[in-house]
Amino acid sequence: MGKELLMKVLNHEDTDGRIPWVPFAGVHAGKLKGYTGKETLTDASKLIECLREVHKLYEPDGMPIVFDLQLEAEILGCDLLWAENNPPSVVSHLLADEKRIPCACKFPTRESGRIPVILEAMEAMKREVGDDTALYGLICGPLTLASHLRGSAFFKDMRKDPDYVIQLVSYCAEYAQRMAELYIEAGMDVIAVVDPLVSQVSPKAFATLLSDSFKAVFDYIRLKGVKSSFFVCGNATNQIEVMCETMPDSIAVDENVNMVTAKSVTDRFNIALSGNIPLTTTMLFGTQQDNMKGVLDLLDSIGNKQNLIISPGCDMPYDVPLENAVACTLAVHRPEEARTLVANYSSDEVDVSGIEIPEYAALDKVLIEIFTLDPEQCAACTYMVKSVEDVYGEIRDMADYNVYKYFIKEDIARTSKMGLKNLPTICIDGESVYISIIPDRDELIAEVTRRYEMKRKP
Amino acid sequence: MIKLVLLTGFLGAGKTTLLQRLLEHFGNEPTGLIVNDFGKVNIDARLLEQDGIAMAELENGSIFCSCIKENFINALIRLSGENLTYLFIEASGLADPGNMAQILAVVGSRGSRPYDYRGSVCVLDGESFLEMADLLPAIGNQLKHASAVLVNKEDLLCQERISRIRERIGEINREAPLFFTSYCEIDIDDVIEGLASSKEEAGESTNTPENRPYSLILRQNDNLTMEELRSFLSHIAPRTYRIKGFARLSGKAYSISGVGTHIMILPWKGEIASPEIVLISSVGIGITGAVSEGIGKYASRSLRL
Repeated sequence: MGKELLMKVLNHEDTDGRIPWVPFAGVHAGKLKGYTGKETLTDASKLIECLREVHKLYEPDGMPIVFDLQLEAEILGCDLLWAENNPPSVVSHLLADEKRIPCACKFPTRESGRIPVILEAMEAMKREVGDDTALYGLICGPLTLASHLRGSAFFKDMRKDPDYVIQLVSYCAEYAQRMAELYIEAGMDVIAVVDPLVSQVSPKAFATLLSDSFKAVFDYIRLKGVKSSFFVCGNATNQIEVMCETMPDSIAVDENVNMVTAKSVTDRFNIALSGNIPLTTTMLFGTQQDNMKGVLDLLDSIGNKQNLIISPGCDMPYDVPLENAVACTLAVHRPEEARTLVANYSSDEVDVSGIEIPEYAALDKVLIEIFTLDPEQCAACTYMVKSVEDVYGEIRDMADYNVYKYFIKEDIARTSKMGLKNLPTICIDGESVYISIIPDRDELIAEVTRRYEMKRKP
Repeated sequence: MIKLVLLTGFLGAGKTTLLQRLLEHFGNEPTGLIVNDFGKVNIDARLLEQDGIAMAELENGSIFCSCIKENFINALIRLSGENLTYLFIEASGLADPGNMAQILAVVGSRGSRPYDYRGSVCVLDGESFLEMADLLPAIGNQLKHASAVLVNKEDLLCQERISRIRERIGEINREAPLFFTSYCEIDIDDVIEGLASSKEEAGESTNTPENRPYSLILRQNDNLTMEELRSFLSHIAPRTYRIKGFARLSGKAYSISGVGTHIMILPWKGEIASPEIVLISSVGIGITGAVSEGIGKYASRSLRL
């Protein structure tokens, strides 16, 4: 059955070319039963109902119980903004004005925050489908949790106060160990440490400031006798190697990473790689054929099928049409059948005809354009937008800014016309300046000032 | 009034041994005990358990840290209702007693009987004191607030080191009587009867959540052997301040006590419900990797988290 196949992959065994399928249906699970994302993440009985539906429709070899990276920050005292059909986002940061380490008495217990909801769902799903499906418990990674707690100041701390960063991330890693312990007790087979922000930190900074804490979490999960996965979002191509050095059993990447390149690295470490069906262009806006073809192309592009898992790039958008996820299921489980269905099919190019690119040189002010996946839901995008918002009061006379979202058709077309390959990216006057890197406050002000002064020169 | 004595000292200095001597010495008098340990498993409480002792166990850090100060105060209030002559408090190894006076002021009228705070006895590990005092501010504060100082492990010290220890202690606290000893073998009356509360002014404790050391609890399977246990503990010891706990090997119970790289595994006469070993890390969360490596190498089928 499916669980056995997935566990073989996570044990790095040969599976005769059979590839496991792990649909990351977080809030999307709610759509299947007509519940909002918020209902799904706060009500155990509704969540269980939705998970049963995911299990029935998508035939997963492994499946997460919830996909919500804000749960831990909420317990620690950050305020959340709830959206109907998205996971919540963190809107206030406990340590924004106070550089300290939270108390150990705040470590999570079975009663903390929404943990009782999640444990109830985990225990129910373990009883009902745990024999044939591997269950994933997702926890917020130490870097993302630290930045939830400290807010955008965290990125400045990385430069100005590395000792504090090490201490705070180490606290968050211990927090992650406690979360893992609770989820393992509830029967989870795989603990996924989800840390989208890792792609925003240079490999050198990761190795110096963060690696030990991440490794401690994966060592702990291994000592507890279950499997681990390291989820990242964004262009983490350069970080894959340092991620491997923290020794997870698998790594999951999104569409910003080339799977073939990434797999050449993970194969060297004998770590499984999971990914990376594009969430919006394919799963949300594509057709069934796009989805089948996308999966088949992905499978065909990878030579060594050992240590491979097919999954969406990240948490599936709420509105992914059921038929698209079903198409992915078919393509992973029965690829030859899918091949006959997509023979001679080629996807339409993105229509960019209605998009006008500004004449930047003619503008009075500098134009900052922030291209995001989703500024509310993608943590890296949130912090990138915030980096501009935070300094805007100081640069408003010199610059304007726009935010584009990759789930809006026009914005997808604009992203394509600008020739951008990675999100989030900040363009300044049409030039990609910060690709998957959150700019430092001083640096951003200096860059805008420099460009503004250039404009004013006769 | 209940005579209250606080025992401080870094992890592994010999506080539990001193407590055992105290309980033996005051065996005929009604005595109470508050023990404070890291982690969920209170090993010290098991070591000191005996009939007729009123005991309160506190866990998860220093009694002076804001996280559990409230539990400590409640324990003091509760035990003030018992008919006790002495109440001994064993503080965890990194406790900084700077705010003991404030704590007693809070207990004040809420308790059934008042406490007569006799002061604190600070136990120092003669072998490591000079190096550790530079590293950890809590040790200096324990010493500063001490009413008596016991330097343990005298048998392992040369004269030159003893002089340097005397000199260093003198810089921090000249008032408190100083005793050199091994295994806390000392005339208890000399130490306890002569106590007079430290004249040091109360200050804020340096105990904060961030200087709480990281700890891990290990469990064993029935097939654990002495050789596996020894090899694993030797591997992990350099990354710990302290190792303590119990093990069951071939059906027999053993107590485990390690300070730095010195480890003792001794037969244990009492009952042990579930054998557990607590590791208090000197390298922070990074010890997880060393534990994983050590178990993988020496005890992959017999030790676990």
